[in-house]
Amino acid sequence: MGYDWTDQDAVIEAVEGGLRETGRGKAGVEGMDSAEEERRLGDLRRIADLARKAPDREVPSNFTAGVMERIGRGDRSWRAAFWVFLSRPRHIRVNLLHLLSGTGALAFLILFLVTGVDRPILKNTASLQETKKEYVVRFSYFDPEARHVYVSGSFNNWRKDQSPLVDPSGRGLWIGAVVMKPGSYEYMFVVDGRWVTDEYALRHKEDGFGRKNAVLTLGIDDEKAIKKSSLLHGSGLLASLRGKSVWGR
Amino acid sequence: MKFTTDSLIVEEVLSGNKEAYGRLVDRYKRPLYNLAFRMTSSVEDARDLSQEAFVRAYTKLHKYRPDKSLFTWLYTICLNLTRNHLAKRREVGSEDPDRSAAARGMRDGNCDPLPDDLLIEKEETKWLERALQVIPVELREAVVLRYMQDLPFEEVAMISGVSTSAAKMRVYRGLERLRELRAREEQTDGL
Repeated sequence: MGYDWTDQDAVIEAVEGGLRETGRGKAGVEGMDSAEEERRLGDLRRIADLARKAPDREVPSNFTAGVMERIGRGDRSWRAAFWVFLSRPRHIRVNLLHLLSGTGALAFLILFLVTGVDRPILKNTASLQETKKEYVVRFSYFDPEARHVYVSGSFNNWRKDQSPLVDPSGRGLWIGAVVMKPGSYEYMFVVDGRWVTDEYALRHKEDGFGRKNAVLTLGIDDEKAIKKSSLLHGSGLLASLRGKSVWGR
Repeated sequence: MKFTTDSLIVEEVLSGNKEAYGRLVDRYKRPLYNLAFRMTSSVEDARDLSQEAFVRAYTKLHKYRPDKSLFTWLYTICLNLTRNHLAKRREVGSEDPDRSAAARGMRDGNCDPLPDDLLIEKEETKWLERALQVIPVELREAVVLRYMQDLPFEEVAMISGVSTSAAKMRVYRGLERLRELRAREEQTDGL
């Protein structure tokens, strides 16, 4: 026999029934013989057993009712309820493509808000915002089937791939903006390589190949034309123009 | 499985079914009440503290993490309340009345009759309840959680906020203090 009484892990194991000798001798208590050690261990075991066997006290009969009454008196605060709403885990399914395009749409929305747009663009056409010397012309084109959409016109020397539109929502609303100086411009959309006329433009001009170019004139005050455009399209489009500006005419 | 059903009930309560909380109270009232009783040796305090623990748990239920054991969480709340209560009691009086009374009884050998050789179980339990009030709170809670609430050392450690080896050390020291009290008392009786 021989317990290291400084090794409390070993003593606890011995108390709990292991009766393990530590093999390190009687380092802890000077002059303690085996009989004394056993007596001490036995005392500790008896106390542990006594604690283990101590019967439970009966819980008062109205205990649960008391708790529920106290809970009923005070609901959780609205802050706690809001926190529950925010922090409760939920199972969600994420389509990564939708997530990315949603993020893109949000970025464009913020960009448009920053640049001063007043109404959303719902149809394929162009709206504009006047700066001091230039106009920001916003193009939109709706086609859920399209894969690539560009706007091409006299403002970019009819280059087909210089002014791409993007579809941030993934739902076929292609949008983009071009900065232009005052003047008159003709343009068309290029949809998956095909030339497409902007049917919603107010003015068109034959292009000499059997198609019609949309005509956009910037720098002439014509708000009536803008309003007429909105009514015609029924799109809710109403470009808000500050100062002198003109819708395609 | 208790753990799973606990989480489901918590979810139900958080969804607005306040009455479902009664099922959790019914499930855990016995261990919580007995924990508080063994720490305070007072049925009134035990009732108040364990009920308060359930009310606190309800108000903080949104902070409960379902991957943890609800039982351990409730125990921790109850034990913290009990510690604060015991600390306040010590501040109000110069001494913990229960502890001092128990200590006086132990010292003078005047506690309930303790037969010299064989203590009957009921009397031994009474002795233990009194003796527990004499030893320091952290040793008391270690002995109570380990032997009277029958928790593994890992859980004792988690509830007490210490390492497993520290929990073992506290249990050992608690037992040792109780043994010393008993030896002293037997010595007094023998005089």
